Amino acid sequence: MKIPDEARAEWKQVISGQKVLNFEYLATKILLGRLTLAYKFDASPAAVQKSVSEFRAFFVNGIAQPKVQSDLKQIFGNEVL
Amino acid sequence: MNAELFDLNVVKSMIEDGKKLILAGDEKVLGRLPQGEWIGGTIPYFVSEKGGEFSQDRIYVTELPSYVLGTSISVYDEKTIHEIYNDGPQNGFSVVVMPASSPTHFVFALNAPNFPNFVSNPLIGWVSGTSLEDVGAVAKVFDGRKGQAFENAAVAYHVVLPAEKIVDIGIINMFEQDTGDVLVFAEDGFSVGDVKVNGETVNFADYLTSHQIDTKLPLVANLYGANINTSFEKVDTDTKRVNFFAPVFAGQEYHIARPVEDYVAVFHTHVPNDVGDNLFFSCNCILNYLYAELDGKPTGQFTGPVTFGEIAYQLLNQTLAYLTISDAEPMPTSA
Repeated sequence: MKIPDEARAEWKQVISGQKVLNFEYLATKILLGRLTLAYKFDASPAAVQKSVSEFRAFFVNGIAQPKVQSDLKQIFGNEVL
Repeated sequence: MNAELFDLNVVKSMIEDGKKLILAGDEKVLGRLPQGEWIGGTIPYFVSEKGGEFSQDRIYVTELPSYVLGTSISVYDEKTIHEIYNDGPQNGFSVVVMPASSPTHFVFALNAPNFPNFVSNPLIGWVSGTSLEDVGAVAKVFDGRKGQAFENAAVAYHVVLPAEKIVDIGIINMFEQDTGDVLVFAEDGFSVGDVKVNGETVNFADYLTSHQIDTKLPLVANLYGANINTSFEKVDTDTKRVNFFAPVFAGQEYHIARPVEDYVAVFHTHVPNDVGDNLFFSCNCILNYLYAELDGKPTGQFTGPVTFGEIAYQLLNQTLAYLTISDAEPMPTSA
C-alpha cells in the first residue's frame, strides 16, 4: 500500500475533526482521540505538523494490519491500493 | 484460547517444562512458584468458563503460543514506563501488568497517551489487585525469571510473532453515552473539583449529588466510536472532590453512561463476530464483576483475570479488553 506524504490535506482534515470517518482499528480511534483533543488546544501550524507526522508514522508502522489498511483507505480512497 | 485456571502444582510443572506464561493469582500462590519464563500479577478474582469465581488457591494461566519467534521480559517503574511502546515488537505484542495504586500505575494512566510511539505496537494488560476483603493488602506484580515481586513496577512480556500472524486488540464495553449533559474537565487527573456542564462551571460532587447520578455508571468518552470509560471511586461531599479509578482528560467531552439492565444479556450482544478461535487473552473489570454480579455467570470464551483496571493501549475502566492472533490472508497469486 502507498501511504500519502505529510503534505496531503486529508491528514489535517481528520486530525481537526473536519473529516469524521468510521475507523475500524481500536488504536486508530484512540490515537485520533488524543490528536483531535490536542488540536482543540493548539491548532498552530507547528502543532498540526507534529500531529500529522505522528498520525502518518502510525500508519507506516502498522500497515501490515488489515484494519490499519482499511482505515488508511477510508482517508484516501483507492489511491492507496 | 490456551488459557484457564490451574492448581499450583500444575503451574509449577508448566514452568519447569520451560513454558512461557502470563499468570494471575493470589500472592499466596504466585509467591510459591519456581523461577522461570513467566510474569504475573496478584488477583483472586477470575472469569472462568463457569463464570466469575473467587479463588486464592488457583492460578489463571495464559500460555504463549509455541510459534512465537522471540520474547523478552521488561520491568519498568514510574521513571521508565514511558519506554513501553518503544520496547514493543514491530510484529507482535506486549502484555503488561502493574499494581493498583502504585506510582507506576498512576504515571502510566495519566501520561501514556503522550509517551513516545503511543499505540504504535499492540499493548494489552491489566492492573493487579487484591481481595476486597483483605484490608491493607497490597497489589503486586512478579518477574518470574528472578522470582521477584514488586509493589511498584510494571512487568511486561514482549512477544515477537511470525510475519504471517496478525494481532488485534479489542474492547467490549457495555456502556454507551447517555443523552444528557456534556461534561468537560479543565485538567487531567484522577481527582477533580469542578466540571463544565454544558459550558457552565459547577462543582462536580454537588452536580452528582443534586442530579442523583448513579456512580456505578462510568463517565464515557466517545473516541471515534470507541467508548472509553472512567469509573467513579468516591464522591466526597465534604471536600467537594470526586475521585476516579482512571484519569479524566482535559477538554474531552464525557457523558454519564446509559444504565445497563442485564449485563450478561447485553454482553452477548456486544461480542464481535470476528474473534472465533483467535482469542489469546482477555480480562474484565472488577467493577463489572461486582456491579453485574458476574459470580457464576459465564461470559463465553472471554475468560481471564478480573482486574483493577484494563489496558488496551491505555488504561480503561469497566471494560473487557482482549487480544486476538490470527493468520494473515494469503496473498492472491497471479494467473
